[in-house]
Amino acid sequence: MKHSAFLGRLLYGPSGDERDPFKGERSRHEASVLGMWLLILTLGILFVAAIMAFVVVRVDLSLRGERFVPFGSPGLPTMLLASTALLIASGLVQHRAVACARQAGRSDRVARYLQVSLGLGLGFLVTQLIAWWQMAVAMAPDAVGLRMVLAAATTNLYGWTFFVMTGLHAAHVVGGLVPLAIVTHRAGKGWYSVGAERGLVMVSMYWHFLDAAWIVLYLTLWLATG
Amino acid sequence: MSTISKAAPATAPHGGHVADENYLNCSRGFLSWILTLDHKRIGVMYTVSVMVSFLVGGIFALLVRTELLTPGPTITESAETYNHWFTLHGAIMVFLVIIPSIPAALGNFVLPIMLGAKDVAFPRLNLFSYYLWIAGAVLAVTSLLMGGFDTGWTFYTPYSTTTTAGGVIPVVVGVFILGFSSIFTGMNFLVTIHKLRPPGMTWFRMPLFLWALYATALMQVLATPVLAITLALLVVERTLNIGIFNPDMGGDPVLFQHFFWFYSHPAVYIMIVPAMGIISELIAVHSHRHIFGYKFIAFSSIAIAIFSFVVWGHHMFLSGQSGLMNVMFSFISFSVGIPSAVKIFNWLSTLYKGTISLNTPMLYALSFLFLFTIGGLTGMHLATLSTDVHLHDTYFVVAHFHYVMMGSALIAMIGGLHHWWPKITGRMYEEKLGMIACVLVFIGFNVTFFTQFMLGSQGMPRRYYDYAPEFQTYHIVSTIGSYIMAVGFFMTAGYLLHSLFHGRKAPANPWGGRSLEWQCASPPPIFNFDTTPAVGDCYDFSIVKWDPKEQGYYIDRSADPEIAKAEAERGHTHL
Repeated sequence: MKHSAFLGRLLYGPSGDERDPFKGERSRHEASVLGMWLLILTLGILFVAAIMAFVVVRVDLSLRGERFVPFGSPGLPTMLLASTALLIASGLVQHRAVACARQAGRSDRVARYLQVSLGLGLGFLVTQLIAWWQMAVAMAPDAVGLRMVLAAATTNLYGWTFFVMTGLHAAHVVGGLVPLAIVTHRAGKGWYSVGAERGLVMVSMYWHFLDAAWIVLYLTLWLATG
Repeated sequence: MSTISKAAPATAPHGGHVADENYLNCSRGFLSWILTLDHKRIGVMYTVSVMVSFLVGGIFALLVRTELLTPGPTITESAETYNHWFTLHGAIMVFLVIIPSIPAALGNFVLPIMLGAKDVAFPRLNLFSYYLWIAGAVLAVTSLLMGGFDTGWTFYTPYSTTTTAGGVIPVVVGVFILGFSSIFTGMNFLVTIHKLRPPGMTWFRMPLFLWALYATALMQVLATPVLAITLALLVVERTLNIGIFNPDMGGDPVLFQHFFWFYSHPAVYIMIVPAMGIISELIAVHSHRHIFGYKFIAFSSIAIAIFSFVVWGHHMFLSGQSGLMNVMFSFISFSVGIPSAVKIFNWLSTLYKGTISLNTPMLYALSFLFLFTIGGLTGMHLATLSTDVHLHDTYFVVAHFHYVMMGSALIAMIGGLHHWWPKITGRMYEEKLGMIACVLVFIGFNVTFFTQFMLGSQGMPRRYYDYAPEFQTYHIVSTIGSYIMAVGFFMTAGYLLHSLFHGRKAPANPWGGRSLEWQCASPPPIFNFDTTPAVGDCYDFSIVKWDPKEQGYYIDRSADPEIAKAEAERGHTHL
């Protein structure tokens, strides 16, 4: 086989040719949805485990009669509310995009919605960075630049919890922006329409997972800092 | 060939392809392997990689055993070097060999064919899983070049977070990546089994190896992310000193143990459950007898998968856990032995009054029965609180887990490798050499590790470079056993590699199996089947007959009314 044929199969999969284990798009779509649910399950457990680690340590602290948020520490940055709004909006817009792809005659709108969603997702990351900066300045005013963030993260468990948990989630958003960008680009080329919306549905499912994970994380942080 | 007719097919003897084209020779060149999407080639690459890692891990084991020939320094002056050796032996064997060996190496090759599919559900994800394994292995090697690590394969804090050994972070990142290789393989298998079963292949028509791989995949997907977060926290703790495992900062080093074992206990079942699946196949096929208690064996795999998540604390009886936790974990650990015992009794019942072919795969299966019984029963000693208090961190534990991980899981893997060798390579290995090597491995294994039960119960601690002189005789015996085992393994490698070039060409069905992989040529064609044969009961061997011309078996499809009916209904079978 020619090298280009190999790369083509790697990029676009064995869809449709004699190597394809599936009999048609519908069965492949169902299998992909199941696969994505499993991925969401696995990543969900990742986040749950992180929250558990934090909860154990937090409860231990309380049982010893110590404060989790030391006196003089800043509360959670209000910028996080903006983050939440942006991420939820991003998810809603994607939902719209998928709905358009599934309706005959509306596939031209899909690309536009995805572009908005991509922008909102990037906005989420920007607000996260601002929130990080605010926390770092408040917790470790003596340090400078990036070291400020590191210093803030390591002053106490409150610092650790904030930065590691939001960082873990942000890393998954960054990872999700890559497929979202690819899907947005492909939507611009008219890839998605009725009966051919698999890639879009995959990204959308993952994005909804990020939404749910963020809400749980934010609630946990909010409840813990009391 | 577009249909399978009820009589012997016109085009090829008993389901094989006429042309010699198969998955091995259909395309050539390095790129055709490294960029392949074919599950069979990916399985072969995994097998080679896993076997190379086994050699490296084995060499570290021989270094450890040789050092222990005398108390005090034997081949190295430095206790720290010894610590590096046992750590590397453990880490390589657990993460690079035993966990991937059956699911990723044998499973990748066999699962789609046994199921009746053309490939796994996500072939590109499959290849990506393999690349992740390579990345993990590369990072493990890198860690050696960056100062190594001597934390033990368990990476317990606070030593792992505070030691100056430079290899800790690379290897931990490597294991993190290997975890995702495992997760993606699990995801792939789950979706394949759910969505790619051909018509007629209902859940209870699936061979038991597939049930085992399914249960394993469940564990891989649910448990491995916890390892990921554990290792991520370890790296963050080491680099940023955030305090999660540091008591001075409000953290808890035992928290690491809880998190680590929450994954690592299911991990040991990820190692053994697919091995048990292989044993079901070996025993049924090589005793030419219907497996006894199919549903019991199938469900016991699922039961083990579920139970495996609630026993992790039995690794931590001496960590300062509350008495109540200890009692609960002990009790549940007793119960987790029950599904395994169910399997052993079902296998024994299968053998009873069977027509047993005492060939190499069957010898490995019989070895498994003996060694797993010992390994499992000694697990009871360790699950019992009053004895574990004395046996924890002694050689008794080392012997127990080698009996289950090596004497059972690895032995089953090698048995499976022999069983499917003709299918994978199209060649027969030299049977007599196979049997001799198996006996050597069996004897060597028992000499090595049974001695260690005695060492442990008399107080010899594990991971110790130096020891009291009264233990020396036992250590010498154990080391001699390890050399005997090494000879057996090198012999196995020798005749298997030799068979690749000089072995007799294998028929489609050398052993008389009935599952679908025996109904395509050896080696299989690239798309496995042109048309998937209709399935009946894959453990009903009454219609499997010997063909002296081909020196192999064939399935007399006309003799099975169920198959005849299914094929009549379907007309031309389609994939």
